Amino acid sequence: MFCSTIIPTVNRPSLAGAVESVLGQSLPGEDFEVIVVNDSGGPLSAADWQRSERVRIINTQRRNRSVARNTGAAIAKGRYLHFLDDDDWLLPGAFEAFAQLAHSSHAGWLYGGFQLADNTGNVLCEISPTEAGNCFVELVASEWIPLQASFIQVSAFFGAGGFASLESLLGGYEDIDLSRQIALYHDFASTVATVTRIRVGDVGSTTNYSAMFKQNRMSREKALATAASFSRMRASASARPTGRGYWHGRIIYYYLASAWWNLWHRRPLAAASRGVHGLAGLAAATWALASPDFWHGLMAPHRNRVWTALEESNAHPYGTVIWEE
Amino acid sequence: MFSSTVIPTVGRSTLARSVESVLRQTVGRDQFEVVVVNDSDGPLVAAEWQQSKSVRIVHTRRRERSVARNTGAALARGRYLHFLDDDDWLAPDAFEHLWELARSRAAGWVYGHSQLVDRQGQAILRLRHALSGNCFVQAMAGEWVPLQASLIDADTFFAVGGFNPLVSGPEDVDLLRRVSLQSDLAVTPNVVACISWGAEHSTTDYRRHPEQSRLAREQILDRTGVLRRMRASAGSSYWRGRIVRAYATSLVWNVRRKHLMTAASRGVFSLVALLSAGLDVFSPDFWRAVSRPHASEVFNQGLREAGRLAPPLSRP
Repeated sequence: MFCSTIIPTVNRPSLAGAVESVLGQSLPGEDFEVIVVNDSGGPLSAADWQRSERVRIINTQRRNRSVARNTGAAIAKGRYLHFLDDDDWLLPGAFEAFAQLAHSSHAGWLYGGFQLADNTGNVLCEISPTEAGNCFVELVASEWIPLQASFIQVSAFFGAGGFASLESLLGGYEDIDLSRQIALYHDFASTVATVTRIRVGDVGSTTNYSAMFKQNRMSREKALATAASFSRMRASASARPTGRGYWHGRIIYYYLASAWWNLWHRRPLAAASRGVHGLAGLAAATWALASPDFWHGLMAPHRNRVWTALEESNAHPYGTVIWEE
Repeated sequence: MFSSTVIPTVGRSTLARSVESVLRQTVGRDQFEVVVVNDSDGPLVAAEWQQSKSVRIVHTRRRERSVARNTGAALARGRYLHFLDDDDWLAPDAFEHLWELARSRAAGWVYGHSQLVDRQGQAILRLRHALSGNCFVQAMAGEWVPLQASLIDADTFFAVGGFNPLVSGPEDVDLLRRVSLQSDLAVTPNVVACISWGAEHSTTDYRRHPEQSRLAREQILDRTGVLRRMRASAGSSYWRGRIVRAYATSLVWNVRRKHLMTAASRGVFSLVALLSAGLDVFSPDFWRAVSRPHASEVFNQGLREAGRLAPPLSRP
């Protein structure tokens, strides 16, 4: 089987739209399945899609998103895992685009373009993929590659241990955390096709946006504490098609910011370790020190692409959120 | 629902015995359930127990035991989780004893004694574990409690993140450590489970065991509050010596892997543990703990007893 779409749900009415957008996909010569993980604690409202042979429903007991998604992944039969939410939908032709991409690429994480829509389904903006290959530094910088628009190789997913427990991340950010953990060891590849429409906005959502800053910190600390992260991040910065100086500056920023954070939280030895890495990054920058991009990366907070696009669309659904210190 | 028994299986023929030993428990049938997680690639051999309303079957795809167990736990409805293996079985009154203990004590992990049996079902020895209360330093030293004889509070299980799927082999020890870091243990002196002993047909890769055990232990030492919890659980000079050793062995391991900053951190912690040991440094027990690996007494005690052992528990 080519892929399994896993949809965790708390039984929102939008679920039927999500499932049907998957069942409407065509995948010549290959098969796919939908696994609905009902984490609502009660039964699902009856609907047509429940009669489809491609759909399996399992019930978890109001644990949380990470547990529900990991449970769905464990019973999945596909070679790729696709995590959709119950208020998002796939666009026609998405699976075909992924099948073509999977044919030409062995990357651990495939993804495509996506639209962001408001609560009523109006498209606010459209984002097309730019990152490919070793994307580690961009993901550490909180660039967001949505799960809804991604196909993850099963072995890469389980090699990273699946989604981290929400408790260890103070309640959220598990999607970006997973992309960071996978980017540490795997490359990314993208298709230009627009594959998903994602609803943004906090109506009825279980996400706690106010805690995002701390969650990002926990996830980033976890990534920076991994032995392989420094060399992987430098390789990633050097592989960027544009703005290499900027990304090398960013790396130093992340290590120094982490050093400061650890010092503040009375972990002087972890702080020293991050500080040493920051200095090593500075020493290795050599020619880049002359570039204004480098100093821009080192000093100014990173502007998230998705966030910027949303701001430019004049329809910011969340209000102000601080992404970085 | 009070408890859910999760049985991961690769379709071994002993599975029916495990499931039936749970279904025959002498407590209310509507108060417990069995979740069989079939991690083999094929279907299970048809059997009578599959007709039971108390049993659910879920299929995973050869994902390793930790993933299979976490999956079963996520589907479970009980307040307590019980993880049985497909070649082990429960004593008929196991739940009576464990439930009573769980109801009377505020502990995240309650358990009873267990009986090791060989592949022919002959009794080898009895494990009389005695860990109770805050047992964190003991768990860090490698003391272990069989999952088969344990009930784990489901909320505690999910609060610590369940089984670590990246640890296979010592994942039960790893779970005990993470649970005991934040919760207490309680024990009942009744034999509640029979455990088949021996590596035959086992899916555990014992060659990866020491390295994975070390990695899992390192992750725990990285957490905050570890030293405090260890000190609170160390009731004798021997165990206070073990704290020093926990950090000292990690120091050596990290130096070998050139994680120098982590090594320095461990060095500082072992010094703190040493300095705060006070008069213990004059005790031979303390230095025995610092200088030698921990040997669990449970097995030795079981072996000593084996000569005067009662007849093996009857097989269901």
